[in-house]
Amino acid sequence: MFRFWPLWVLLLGGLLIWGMQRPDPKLLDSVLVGRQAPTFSLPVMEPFRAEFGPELGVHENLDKPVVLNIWASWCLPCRVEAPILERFHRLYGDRVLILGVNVQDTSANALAFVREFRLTFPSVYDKRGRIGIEYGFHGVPETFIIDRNGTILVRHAGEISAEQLQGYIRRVLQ
Amino acid sequence: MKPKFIIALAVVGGALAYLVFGGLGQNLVYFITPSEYFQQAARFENRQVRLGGLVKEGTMKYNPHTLELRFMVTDGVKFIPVKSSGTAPPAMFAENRGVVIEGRFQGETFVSQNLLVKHSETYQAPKEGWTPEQVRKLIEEAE
Amino acid sequence: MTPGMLGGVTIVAALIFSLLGLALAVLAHVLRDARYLEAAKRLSGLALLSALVSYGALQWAILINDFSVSFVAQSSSADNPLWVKLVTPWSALEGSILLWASIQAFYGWLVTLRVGKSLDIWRAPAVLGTLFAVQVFFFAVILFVSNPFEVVLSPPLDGQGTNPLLQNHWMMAVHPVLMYLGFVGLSVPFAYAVSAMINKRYQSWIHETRWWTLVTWGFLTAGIWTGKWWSYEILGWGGYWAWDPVENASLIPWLFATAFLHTAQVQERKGLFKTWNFALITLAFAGTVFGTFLTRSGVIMSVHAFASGPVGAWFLIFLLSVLVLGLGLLARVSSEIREAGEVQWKSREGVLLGGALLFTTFSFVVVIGTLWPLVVEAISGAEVSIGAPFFDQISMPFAITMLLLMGIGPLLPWRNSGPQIVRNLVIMLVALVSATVLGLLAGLTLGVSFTVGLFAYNVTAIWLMISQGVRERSRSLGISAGQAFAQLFATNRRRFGSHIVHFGIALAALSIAFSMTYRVVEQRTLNVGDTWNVHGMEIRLLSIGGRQEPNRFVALAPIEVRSTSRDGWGSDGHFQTRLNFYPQMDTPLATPVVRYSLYNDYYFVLMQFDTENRQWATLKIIVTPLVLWLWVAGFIVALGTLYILWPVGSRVSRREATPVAGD
Repeated sequence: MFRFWPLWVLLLGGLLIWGMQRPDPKLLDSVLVGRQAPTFSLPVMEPFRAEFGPELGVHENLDKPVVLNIWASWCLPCRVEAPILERFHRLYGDRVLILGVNVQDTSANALAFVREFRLTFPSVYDKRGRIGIEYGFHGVPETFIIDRNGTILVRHAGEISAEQLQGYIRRVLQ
Repeated sequence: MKPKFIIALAVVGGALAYLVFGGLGQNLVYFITPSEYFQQAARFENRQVRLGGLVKEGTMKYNPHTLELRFMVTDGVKFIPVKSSGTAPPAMFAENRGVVIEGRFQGETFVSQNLLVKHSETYQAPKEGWTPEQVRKLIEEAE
Repeated sequence: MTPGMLGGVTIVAALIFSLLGLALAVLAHVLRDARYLEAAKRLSGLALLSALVSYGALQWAILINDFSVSFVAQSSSADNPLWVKLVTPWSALEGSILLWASIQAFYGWLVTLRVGKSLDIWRAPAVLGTLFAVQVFFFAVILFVSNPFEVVLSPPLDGQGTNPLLQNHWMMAVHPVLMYLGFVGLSVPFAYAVSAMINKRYQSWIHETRWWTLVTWGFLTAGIWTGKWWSYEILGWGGYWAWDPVENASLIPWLFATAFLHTAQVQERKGLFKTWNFALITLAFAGTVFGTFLTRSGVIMSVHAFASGPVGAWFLIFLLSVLVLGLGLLARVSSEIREAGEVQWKSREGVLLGGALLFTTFSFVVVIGTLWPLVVEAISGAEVSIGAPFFDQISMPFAITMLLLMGIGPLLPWRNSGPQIVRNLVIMLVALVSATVLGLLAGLTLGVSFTVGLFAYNVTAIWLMISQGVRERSRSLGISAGQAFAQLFATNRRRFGSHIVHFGIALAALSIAFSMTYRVVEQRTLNVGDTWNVHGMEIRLLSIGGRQEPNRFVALAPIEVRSTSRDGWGSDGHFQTRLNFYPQMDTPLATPVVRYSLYNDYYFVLMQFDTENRQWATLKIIVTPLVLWLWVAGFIVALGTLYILWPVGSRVSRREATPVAGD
């Protein structure tokens, strides 16, 4: 048995390599892509109530593409994303709804985050994890790109860069 | 190598192989969804299995004084009633959350010996009419 | 210079120094030029210095709450107590690899101190080269894949905090460090083995690594033991081993290392098992890497696993390289290796070979069992898990055989057995059978009675060995038995040390048998003021309250326990059962209150309580007999190991070791 040691090593290596190939949730296409975005309506965070009303969400009569960004104050990549989202909101806010959903967080920390980055795009509180159930996100941050008919085009897991966001917005505005 | 040595080695090796691979076969605990169970109910009838799915909204009944828990687990397509007794449910256990229950089927009901709640809160509610394969992917995704 | 910058720079420095060291070692070997060797030695020191400074920088960043360092932002929090901050480096992936690499650099440097003394300059380059190669791997992984010093562009005001599971118990400060000291230690005998095979000097490496192997084994054992104790104290299920893939990952190298420890002694004294030992040490070191790979690659789902990521692939490549290097070299030289004779089965070396085979086989079985779900999924697509019952079943025959061999092995002389041995064996078997029968008569199960029998068998064996040695010495020198014993004890460190260790193992087996067979778990919901009569105890729930602590909120349900019969002996007391609520976890963490006693351990866990009216609480009690002796056994094993290692005068150690002439 020992004489065939290269065989054993190869088998072991093969098995483990196969084991590692199994889909990483980040790369797996969300089963929601291509389907209708689930509707919801959640309480708007205090600083945005004046402009956007008490509740906000995705619903049938929206008629605007949506960039739905799931974030939390304790999430590090969210801190990199926030200024980028803010910039795009200032550029495209009239044509695209950039909507943040704050999850797994305390309102105090969420408000502090909004203040720190001087955000003007609206965010809603998702205290009971509705978005988790409806959209099925795996972690923070995650961004869903929804076109103006309410179809989910992309689920972008992880940090989103300015170039990527630019690309997505261009797609939905066509 | 002397022949006696080889025979001894063969005997020991044979016993070991039987113990290991026989044991492995018997001790495999399959992970299934409710739909998969209904497709092959006879196969899983008296075995220890792990059943995965969502706790169906509105079906959870827990009596803290008798430590009896009843609920339905679903994968969006089929439901299975579950009974667990003698232990408080794990802290994260709630409706619309993912669970994996280890136990056996007793008739129609699944009797649970061990409740494992998915650590991730991110669970997508399966909609009606999805195939078991899609549902399994959902459950696995949320790990 | 911020800690982040310092840390980042020194990681690069450590990598560069290790690469240069590797290059110089290779040159020294190829060109047979000792000057390169000298330079390589110096680079080892520089690499160590860089690694230590880097680690220090990370610790510094944690202590001053510098959240611009990614590791600190992800794994630390400003209101962590000081002791938690001191253990935060190894609480998550990036920091733990840095700790590992630093220990590796330290061991590498220690080896350079031996060059010119016990390690001749002809073989040293290959040894240092191998160790440098390992260092290069680890520092490269840190630098390119999991760097704790990555810069956070807009630092948060506070970090995400440390995993609460790791803050609950001080053992966090001890167990991982011990495990790493053990894991990393196996790289040194491996490096010596590689060098031995390259330089075709097949014997001397065993003598030189004797100390290393024992110390490493000691750390591995201590690491596993403390891990068991930690999970027992913390996880609230009252057990200490669940055959979880990550636990198996630490067991596998230990099994190979134990086998190696014993067969190395045979090679040292008798020049046998040379091929075996090369294979064993390769497997042991590979086992270490395999374990690390399993826990960091996401291949097997486990409660303990670290986050997965690209790290897994790197470790897989490293694992395969180690196997290819060790086994490949061995295949190349095995035809040249001359054993010093044949193995007689009825001799000590025969039993040791049997034992080594046993450990190795069991180790492979654990590997197969751990990977089997993967195999099944690859072949049939079904998702399965292998439950603990499989491993429990498999370990029974292994444990029994091991206990039998452990008793008889040291008793047999080298080379062959004589009639006196048969007489001793009969006495031991009588002890085995009578203790087993006594156990059965006392109402114990067959398995537990048999374990009692095996315990008696081993104690008898140790007693026979000591008493015969004492008798011979006192007769031949004309001194009293007491004096003879004292002399033997002081001079035969290896013998007596191993007696102590083997006694500890037998005691551990006994404790495991009792605690697993007679464990009792019960749950009940009580109203405040109610009493619960269970297992010889009367438990009364006193009240339900809470307390705010800096990093968590604690819900308390104090209980009063009174023992009412022999079953509950030792359980009396007033206990604060609690549930810890951490801000970063939205579900509470139950911490058990453990009442230790020499007889039973009583475990009280608060599972749930009435959050509205504070009227009732659900309590779980676990009664585990004789489990305290398991920790005592671990302590005994540690003492025995220390006794063997304790530095003695050179006169005595030279007498002990009987090196075989020539390689």
